[in-house]
Amino acid sequence: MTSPTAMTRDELLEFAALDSYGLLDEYEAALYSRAFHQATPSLQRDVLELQAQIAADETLLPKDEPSEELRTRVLRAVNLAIEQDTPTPLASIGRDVAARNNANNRQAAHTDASSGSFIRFLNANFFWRAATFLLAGVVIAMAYVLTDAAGQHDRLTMAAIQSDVEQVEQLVGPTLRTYLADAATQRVVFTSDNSDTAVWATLMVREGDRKALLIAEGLSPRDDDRPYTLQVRDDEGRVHQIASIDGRSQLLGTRVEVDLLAYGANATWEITSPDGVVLTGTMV
Amino acid sequence: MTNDENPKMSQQDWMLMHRVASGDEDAVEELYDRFGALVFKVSRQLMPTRAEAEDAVQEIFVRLWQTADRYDPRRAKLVTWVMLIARRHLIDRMRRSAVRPTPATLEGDPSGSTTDRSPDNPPQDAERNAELLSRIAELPELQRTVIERAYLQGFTLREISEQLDAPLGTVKSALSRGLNRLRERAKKDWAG
Repeated sequence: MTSPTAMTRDELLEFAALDSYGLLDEYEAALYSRAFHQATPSLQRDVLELQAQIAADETLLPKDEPSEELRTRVLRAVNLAIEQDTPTPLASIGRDVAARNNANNRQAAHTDASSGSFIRFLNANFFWRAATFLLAGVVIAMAYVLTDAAGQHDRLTMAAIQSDVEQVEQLVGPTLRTYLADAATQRVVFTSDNSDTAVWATLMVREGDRKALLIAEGLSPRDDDRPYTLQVRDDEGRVHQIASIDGRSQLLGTRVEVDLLAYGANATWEITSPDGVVLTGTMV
Repeated sequence: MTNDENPKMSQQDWMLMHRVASGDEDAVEELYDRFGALVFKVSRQLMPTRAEAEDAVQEIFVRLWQTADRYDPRRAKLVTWVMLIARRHLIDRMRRSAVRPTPATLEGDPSGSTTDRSPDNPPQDAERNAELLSRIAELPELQRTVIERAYLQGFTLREISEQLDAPLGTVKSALSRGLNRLRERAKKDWAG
C-alpha cells in the first residue's frame, strides 16, 4: 500500500507520468491529486510540463494518420450528441408532476366541495407527493452524479443546481451545492446487497479540508432508536467509526470530517445498524 | 503541440473548452484540428483494427464535449487533459471488450491468440506497433512485462501486481522506468 503521506519530488513526478498515461486507479489518482495540491508552485509547474511532454509525445505511437473522412464523422457525431443533449432540469420533473397533481387535486376538491377535511387531506397529500416527486428528480440527478465516475455528472449536477437544490438543501444542509459544484470532490458511493431495499447513500469529501457531507435516503428510524454508524475497515481490518447517523426515511444530510486516503487502497466503507452492515461503499 | 506555455495560452485553452462545453461547433472543430491526429494515433495503438480506432475517436470527442466544463488549466495543460480522457476511454473500452490484445495481436501476427483476425483488417495493421514492440523487447524482463500489460493491455497496476505476485511499488517503478527508457530511446531514434 502506498502511504497517504506527502510525496517526494521524484515520487510525485513518477505518479504524474503514470497519471498522464491514464494508468492510476481511483485510489492512486486521489493520492496523486492530493500530493499535487500540496506541492510547491514550482514543482506543480514541473509536473504540468512533464505531463504535457508525455501527452504530446508521438514517438511511441503508430505513424498512421487519420483520414479526412474521420474528421467529418467525428464532428457529425459530436454535433448529433449536442443536438440530442437535453440538460434536463431534472429536479423540475417533480414540479411538472406536482403541477398535474395539483390540477387533479383541485378537480377532486370540486367534486366533493362539501368535505373540508377531504380537501385538507388532499392538500397535505399533495405536499408530500410533490415533495416525493421533487426528491425523486433530485435523487435521479444525484444517482448519476454519484455513480458516473467518468464525468457525465457535471452536466446533470448543473441541471440539478439550476432548479430545486435549495429545497433539497433544506433537508440535507446548506453546503450541498459546494460539494456538487466542486470537480475535486471525492466520492464514496454506498449500495445495498439487498435489491429489495431502496436505500442509498453517498459520501462527498472535499479534498482541500477533508470536510464531508454524507447524503442518504431510506435509512429508516429504528424501533429501538439506535443510530446507524458510518465506518471504515482499513487495509488491516481495523474498524474506524466516522459518525453516528440518526435514521430518517427521507433524504438526510450529515456533515462529517474524514480523510478518504488514510485507510489504504483496499479500505471498506460501510454504513451499519446494530443488526449488521446495511450499505457498503466504493470510492469512485 | 504543447504551445500553452504561458497564462494567456492557458486562458485561451480554458475559453476553448468553455465554448466546447456550450456546444459551439467551431470550438469542437478547433479541438479536433488540434488534437484529432494525436487521439487517432493513440487509438490506433490500442485498438485492434483501424475501424475500431475510428469508432473510439468518435466516442472520445463526444466524451471531451461532455467533460469540457471540468477542464481546469491549473491542473493540466490541454493536451494532457485530452490525452488522459482518450487513454482512459480506450482502457475502459479494452476492459469492456473482455479480450485484450496480446503483444502478438498488437503486432498483427496472424498466430496471435485473440482478436484482429477479421478479414477487414487492412495490411498496415501488421506494422502499426512493430517499432514500439521491438523497443519494448529490448527492456529488462520486468519492465517489458509490466509495460505490455499496463500500457498496451489496459491492466491496472494493482492487477499486474497480483498477476506477478510482486509489490505494487515494484510494478510502479518498473513501469515508470520502462516508459522513461522507451521515450528516451525513441527520441534518440527520431533525432538520429
